[in-house]
Amino acid sequence: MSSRILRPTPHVPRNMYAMLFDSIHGQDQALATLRQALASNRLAHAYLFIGPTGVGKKTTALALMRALLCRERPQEGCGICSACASVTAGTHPDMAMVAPEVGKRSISIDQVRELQRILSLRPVLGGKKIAVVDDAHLLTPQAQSALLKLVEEPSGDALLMLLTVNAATLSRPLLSRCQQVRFSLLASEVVEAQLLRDYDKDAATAHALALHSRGSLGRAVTLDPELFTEERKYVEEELHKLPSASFSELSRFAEWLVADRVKKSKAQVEAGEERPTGNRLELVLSWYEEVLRCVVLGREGIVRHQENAAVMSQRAAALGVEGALRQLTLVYDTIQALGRNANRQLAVEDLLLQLARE
Amino acid sequence: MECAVEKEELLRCLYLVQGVVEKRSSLPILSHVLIEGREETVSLGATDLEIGIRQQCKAVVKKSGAVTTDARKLYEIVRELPPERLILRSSGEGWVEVSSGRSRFRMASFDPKEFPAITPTVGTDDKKVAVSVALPGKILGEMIEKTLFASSPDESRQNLSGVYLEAQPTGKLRMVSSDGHRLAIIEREAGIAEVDAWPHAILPRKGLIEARKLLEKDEDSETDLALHGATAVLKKGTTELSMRLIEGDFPDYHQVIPKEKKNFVSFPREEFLSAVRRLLVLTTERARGVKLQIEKQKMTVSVNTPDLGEGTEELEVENNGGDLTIGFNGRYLTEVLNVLDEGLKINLFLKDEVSPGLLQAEEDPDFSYIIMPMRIF
Repeated sequence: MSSRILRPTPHVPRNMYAMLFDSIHGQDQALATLRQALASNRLAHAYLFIGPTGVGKKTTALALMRALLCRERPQEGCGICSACASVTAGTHPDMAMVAPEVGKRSISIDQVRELQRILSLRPVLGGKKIAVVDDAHLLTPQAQSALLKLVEEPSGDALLMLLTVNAATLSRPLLSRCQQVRFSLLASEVVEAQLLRDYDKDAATAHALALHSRGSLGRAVTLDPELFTEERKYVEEELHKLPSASFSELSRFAEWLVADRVKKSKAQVEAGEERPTGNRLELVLSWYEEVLRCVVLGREGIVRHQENAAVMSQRAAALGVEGALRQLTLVYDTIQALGRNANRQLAVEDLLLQLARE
Repeated sequence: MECAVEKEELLRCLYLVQGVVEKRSSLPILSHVLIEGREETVSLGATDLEIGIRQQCKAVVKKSGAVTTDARKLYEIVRELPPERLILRSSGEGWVEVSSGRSRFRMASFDPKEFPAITPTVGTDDKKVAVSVALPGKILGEMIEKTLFASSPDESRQNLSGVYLEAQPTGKLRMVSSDGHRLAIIEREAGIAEVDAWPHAILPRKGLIEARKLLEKDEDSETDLALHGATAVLKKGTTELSMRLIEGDFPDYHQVIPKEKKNFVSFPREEFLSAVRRLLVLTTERARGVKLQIEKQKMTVSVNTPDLGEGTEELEVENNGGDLTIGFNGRYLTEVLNVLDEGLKINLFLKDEVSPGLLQAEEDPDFSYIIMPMRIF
């Protein structure tokens, strides 16, 4: 049971998790709540951070950890002292992080028990013990019950933070015992500024990445700009000829769209070769979002696919508001369905057929 | 860092730290051993963030500094090397070179600054003054041996999962462990002067298992046990083992100890132990009940498992009380008798069939074992 450890998301640069409160942007409300509680020494004993992927939940959790454990600059964290450095490295003895084990899609009760054991030890350095459960929506029901006990009767001075993109799978008792903090999507300007400052991107790349980040810094950072541009071009071409495409062409395109998420071997996953979840279907979604924007706002509404403005406004005119909205909904629903174990190939083929019919 | 060390010495030291190195960790640095060369000595360190070990190793240090490297791999390499002097040297950023005769290995090293603190610094809190006691390793090992087995393996009762340590007004050191069904208490002379300064501490099972290993083949060496705020540090010769204490309070166990010590039966340890062992064959994991029937100077020990069969053993005992029939978990009996020395005369104090029994060796009243009875039909 190696649950103590932060499983580093392989493709996320390490410095993302080394940030202090000051360098987290775009989550003013969430940060204000936490910093106020911190300043008045009235932190809740359990928090639930809810928000989309890549907007700063884990970064904030780690920043809060540093603020609590740092010995040089209490309440802020210095980022340099041995305590802060060991938080970043995941080796601070008073911290514990739980996430699904490599290759698994749930957090087991054994991992929660191990967490319980770690939290039963006296804090060595900071006087406070801090645990983070990442992807808390993947906790099995049994694991949630075990965690509930930990939330209700923490041993000693412990702080628990649950991070999730979707609180719906968490049990009511667990939810009711955590203070909820919401994280919102980031404005693309915020993402762009951060990419320029902290991730050494040039202005053009930063701008392009931010436009396609869909409000998630994590996604912007993990996108490979060249590969992304290439894929985007391909999607645009295919969508352009969609109304006149034959079924075999549709089928091939569908195959390509879902190929992104094929299951990789365990070795590849462990070696961090797993592709970021930059879902190719989201390129399709992005296209239809732009079409809808074009219908409503005219050509000025097109921000992401400007080189195709002509095609797009043509399509916009043909569809009208209702048509564009209907198509967008189709794409969105399919993405949702894929998240719930739909047959990938079939679902996407069906989507393309419906889109082509309009 | 550069140092020269004899193969046998390095192998011995590496062997000692192996037990602590985390095997399944997804934090790679914890599978490494920290090698620090300073002035005259080289120290090897390993930790899994709960227990840590630091081992001094005789070596000639040419350049001080530190490196880390995979503990298991280094051990395996050193083991296979011829018995000659070998050189450990940091070679460039992130590498460590091991050479001996014509063999040369280059292994990956982490930045030693990233290595977690092995012996955590003494708590900043001024109230957490360190206290320590020196006693022979043999005695400490015995105390651990005679209490650890009775601690609870149940993860949900953390405060019972370790061994409770306290200083007695008499200057003795006391260790207590319990799993809720039985309780073991041992006291040994330790000459503790500042009894009031001693904090109550629960030592973790994992750390005690390592400590027991360390003290296993001990003759007469002195060991030093210190408590600093949140950690206990055990020093023996060139080895230093630290473990994090368990949070929480140990239950008030005094009320469990039977006050009345009037009626008891006495019997030789071996005779009773082998009888119960034989009887346990006819029990199952779920029902380990053993019935003790005491009549005059005879004790009949029996088991009865409907699906398996039944067994009886008769023992001659010294009975200093009335007749009584009582049931106990047989495994709890054999476990305690196993850790007691051979040739002892055992006294089992019993009040009635529903009160806990107290087991002591006549020769050693400083060890007590309290065991809850079972209802056996």
